[in-house]
Amino acid sequence: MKKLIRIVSVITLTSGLLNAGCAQQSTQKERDEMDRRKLSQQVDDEVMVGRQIAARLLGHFGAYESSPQALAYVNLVGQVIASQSGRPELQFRFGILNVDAINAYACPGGFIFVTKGLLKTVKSEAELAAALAHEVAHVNEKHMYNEIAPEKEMTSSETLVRLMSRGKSDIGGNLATMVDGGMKMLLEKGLGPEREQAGDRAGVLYAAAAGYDPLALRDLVKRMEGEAHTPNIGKTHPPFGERIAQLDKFIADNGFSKSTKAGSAVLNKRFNEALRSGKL
Amino acid sequence: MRMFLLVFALGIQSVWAAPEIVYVQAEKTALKAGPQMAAPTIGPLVRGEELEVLEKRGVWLRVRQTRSGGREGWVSKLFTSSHKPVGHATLSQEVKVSLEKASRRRESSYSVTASTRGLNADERVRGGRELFRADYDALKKMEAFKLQEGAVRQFRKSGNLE
Repeated sequence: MKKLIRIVSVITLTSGLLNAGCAQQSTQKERDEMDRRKLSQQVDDEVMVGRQIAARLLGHFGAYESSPQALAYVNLVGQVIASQSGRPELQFRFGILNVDAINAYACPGGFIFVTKGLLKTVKSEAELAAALAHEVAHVNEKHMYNEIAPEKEMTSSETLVRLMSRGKSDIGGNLATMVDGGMKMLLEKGLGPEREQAGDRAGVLYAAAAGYDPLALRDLVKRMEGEAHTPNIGKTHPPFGERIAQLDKFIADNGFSKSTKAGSAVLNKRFNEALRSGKL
Repeated sequence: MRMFLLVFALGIQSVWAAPEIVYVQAEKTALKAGPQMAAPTIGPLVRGEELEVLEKRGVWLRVRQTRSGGREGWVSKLFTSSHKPVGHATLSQEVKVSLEKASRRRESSYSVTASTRGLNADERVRGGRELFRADYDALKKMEAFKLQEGAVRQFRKSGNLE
């Protein structure tokens, strides 16, 4: 009798666990689908906010359109960096702003800008890549978006309700406020020292993972310290000295050293062809 | 009987206490022997690969590849995410209808709100209703810009960035 109880118990336990496993598999599939839809909704919201801010940045500074070669080059370098980033769901776009001040801007959803002044300041493709990587990091980590549109974690049922309402979100009514908030962050307040330093760290990693010199961002920040055209960066970013000290620590912690690729002939040639020789 | 209860409890625990899983998002990255980019490479990681998180240290995660024969090592959390990777093209195709409708509805509702009483963007800025003038033509040009097919791959290859 005891033996029979044991056999029945084993069968019951095994079948229970199998059932639980199957149920888990099926719910995992459903969860994946729900996650995907939730992600698409979040990306949709983020892009909608980002493009409004991008349109205002373009309105504020104007687009630099005199050099299609420079624009193509910035986009090529930018896409190399973006492919290494943690958000393949975003379509990154890169533009040039017609202003001599040295700066770069990131808008939610993947709209990234460098100024004409920055393009004149960078000395290599690796430095341009590093500047773009810093901005890509701001987008990936949602440094601005989380500040102007604090993310509300939706439950599955909320996601479903939102999907059934064909994506109606509560952003619409708040969009103008969010856009103004975003512009003020870009032009006046900045993202805050912690986020800027996080952008620096991620920028170094993205650039290095893409094959660029990991010390290029440090070199660029060091050079900007001595430039006259950086009043806005001084207002919206931590002091250069602090950034350099943090970068030095991060570079040392990661065991980085100067990459030999930084001086490769091909990189230098195409950098000069696109951004020098009177191209800007 | 107690033994069976113990086995049952352990079984249930193994079903419910799910480990933390992340997925590789970067196009190419590697499993490292330590929490450093300069650490020796254990092996390549491909986009979409599933990793179990064992430990967190700054921007680094100690992980185990969940596939058969998977190894342990380190990867930066910046190259991973808790959801499976979805390319922007796939994402927009899968939910094209919903996205298009949603975007149109919301953007148009925003435009209506923003263009109160028929004022255009410049007038609203001058009237103090909006702080910044928008240039949608320049934005559309930016969005329409496309690199030639395969250009990024070629650019990477010629620069020895692969």
